[in-house]
Amino acid sequence: MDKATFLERIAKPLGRMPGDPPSPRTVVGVPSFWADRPSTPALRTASFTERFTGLAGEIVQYASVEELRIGFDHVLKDIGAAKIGAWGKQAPWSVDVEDVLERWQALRWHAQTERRAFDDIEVGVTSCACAIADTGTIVIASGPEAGRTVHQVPLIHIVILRTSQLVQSLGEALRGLAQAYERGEIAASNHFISGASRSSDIENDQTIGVHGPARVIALMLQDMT
Amino acid sequence: MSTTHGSTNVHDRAQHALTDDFLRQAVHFTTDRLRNKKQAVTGEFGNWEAWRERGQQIRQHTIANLDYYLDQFTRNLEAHGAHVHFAATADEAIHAVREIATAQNAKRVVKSKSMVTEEIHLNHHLEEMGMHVVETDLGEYIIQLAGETPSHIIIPAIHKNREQIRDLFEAAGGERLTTETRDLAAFARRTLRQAYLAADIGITGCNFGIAETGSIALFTNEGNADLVMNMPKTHIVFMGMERILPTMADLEVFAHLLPKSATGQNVITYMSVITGPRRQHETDGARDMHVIILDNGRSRQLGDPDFQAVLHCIRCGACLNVCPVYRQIGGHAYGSVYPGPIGAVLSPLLNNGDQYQDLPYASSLCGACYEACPVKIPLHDMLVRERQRFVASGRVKPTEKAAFQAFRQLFGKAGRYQTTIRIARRLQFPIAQDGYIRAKIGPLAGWTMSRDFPVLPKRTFRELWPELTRKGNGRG
Repeated sequence: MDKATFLERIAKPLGRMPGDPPSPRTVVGVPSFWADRPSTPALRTASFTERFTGLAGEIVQYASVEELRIGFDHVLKDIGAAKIGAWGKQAPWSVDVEDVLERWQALRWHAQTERRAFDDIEVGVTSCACAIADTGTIVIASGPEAGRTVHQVPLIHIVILRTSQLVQSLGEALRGLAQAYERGEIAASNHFISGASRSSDIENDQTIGVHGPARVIALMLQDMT
Repeated sequence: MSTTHGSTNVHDRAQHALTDDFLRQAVHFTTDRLRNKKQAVTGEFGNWEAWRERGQQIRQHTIANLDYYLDQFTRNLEAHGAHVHFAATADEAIHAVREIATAQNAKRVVKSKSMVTEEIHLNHHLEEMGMHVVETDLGEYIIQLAGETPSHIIIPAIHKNREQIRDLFEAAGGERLTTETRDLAAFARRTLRQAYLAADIGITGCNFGIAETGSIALFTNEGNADLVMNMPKTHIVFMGMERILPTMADLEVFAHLLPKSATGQNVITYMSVITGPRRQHETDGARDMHVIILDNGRSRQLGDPDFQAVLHCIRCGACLNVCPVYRQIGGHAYGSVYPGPIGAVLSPLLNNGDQYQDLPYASSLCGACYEACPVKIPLHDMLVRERQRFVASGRVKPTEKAAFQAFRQLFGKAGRYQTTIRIARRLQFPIAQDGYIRAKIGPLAGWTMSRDFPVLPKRTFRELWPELTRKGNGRG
């Protein structure tokens, strides 16, 4: 059916004419008691850490970039992964971990990447656009050097971020998307990740890592207290 | 339990379900678990009634202006390079898929869970077109292997035990497996990963379409929808035309309401916000994105003061988890893709004809569904109105009609009622025992087959009243 006829079938019983503006909105988005809550860097960090670990996420915080790099190296050693994939060098990393990725000879995503080269990576390393304190959520936007495959395919996802990237609410992150849209810059994929892939489809018995990563590890630089 | 779509009516299917002890136990356990988790998470979250109110207000506004927001949504989708198809009927939606698949020379399809594709029996049509279809949600994969339909909106394989699942997986993969959840899930991960890699088309549903940006928001816990959207070169989105929210700010409300109501989770594990196909210089994500927007009976509810609000539904399944009828008979007994209270309301509305006209009777009208609904749809009122329409259409059984006429005659006048009760009190004597009637005979059998019926007391309330008044006055 063509669009005009389809919309007319909807407008008519609603007592509207196609092209009519919407009726005025009395409410938009969340109630004010939620939007107007106090938020400080310390509260955001504490809430994110509690929520993220509550979803079986693992988090380590570092006081300096150097400590984070050393910690990152240790995490990779502990995992003992043979094949590591990571965002490209030009991707929006919020902490520079190039030397660690080079040392581990990570496969890097870039605009000429063949996705299939990443099909069997064991660990995927990314940064993120922001993270949400209320829900323990990591937000990842896709881009030419930030392939979605890097964090969707492996069993282990390591995300590198700064405390200054924490926002309080889901609404703040979504407002960021609406603003990116206004600027003509919204990413094709914005992925909101809260913990490990899970299912309770077999006799209500929860299992992790059904399709996506079974472990999500956040390495967070404390740059705001 | 096989699918019961071919059975005669909800009563027969319910009788069949009541004999399946595993099913009843599984439904009890699952619905209890989901309901308790919801109670805990909404209690911790706080102000739940205010959130429900907000959800209702947003859905009400959206549906009342649906033509505007659908227009805005589809213009924004197209501006980002997606193709939009409008389907008035299931046939038109199937036709749109056929054209896309033919143009792509597609043979293999992976799907994530989508109730609207169940509604139009998409898999059946795709297979008729010669395509190989794999469901990737673990529960949907299980029931696809079993050749069945979902028995719960959120947990589709609620009725399968782990031994049955192991047998299905062994038959599909040709390898020996244990009944450990970890082993079964690992098998699914290995097998389905190959399906993603081989697929030409990925099909998903759509939890919400965001009008202001033309984005599709998809919620999963497994992460399967992300692989379905990312790996094949073509992504097709199926959405009911009502699944729209005006703004990203509104999505925040529903990102709280949906997972809390559906599974008692504070937040869904994966929420993907997709705005068009892959951009220039991106090397993953679908190259082509098609969005098929389906009416299929929905527009008939618009402007109807009794039923327009059914389009506010966000398919969380919370009404199933509190329904005393669903709890006893499970999902398949409804014989419809949409089970539980929402299914009992929606199925007769979306489908003309007699097929689902008995479903509004599969309810005790207790109103628990309304209390559970995150957008406050008055499902119990709608069930009564559907019954009224059914009766007004003259399609009720002559025996039922006669019974209600007799009821009206007897209860219409106080004198007739009193006489009837006096006669009934005498007639009950031979079958009454210890204050109850247990005989499974006559018109009472429907009740006494499973419960005892209390005998009529020696004196009615009306007969007692003068005495009670005297006593009351005496004390006062």
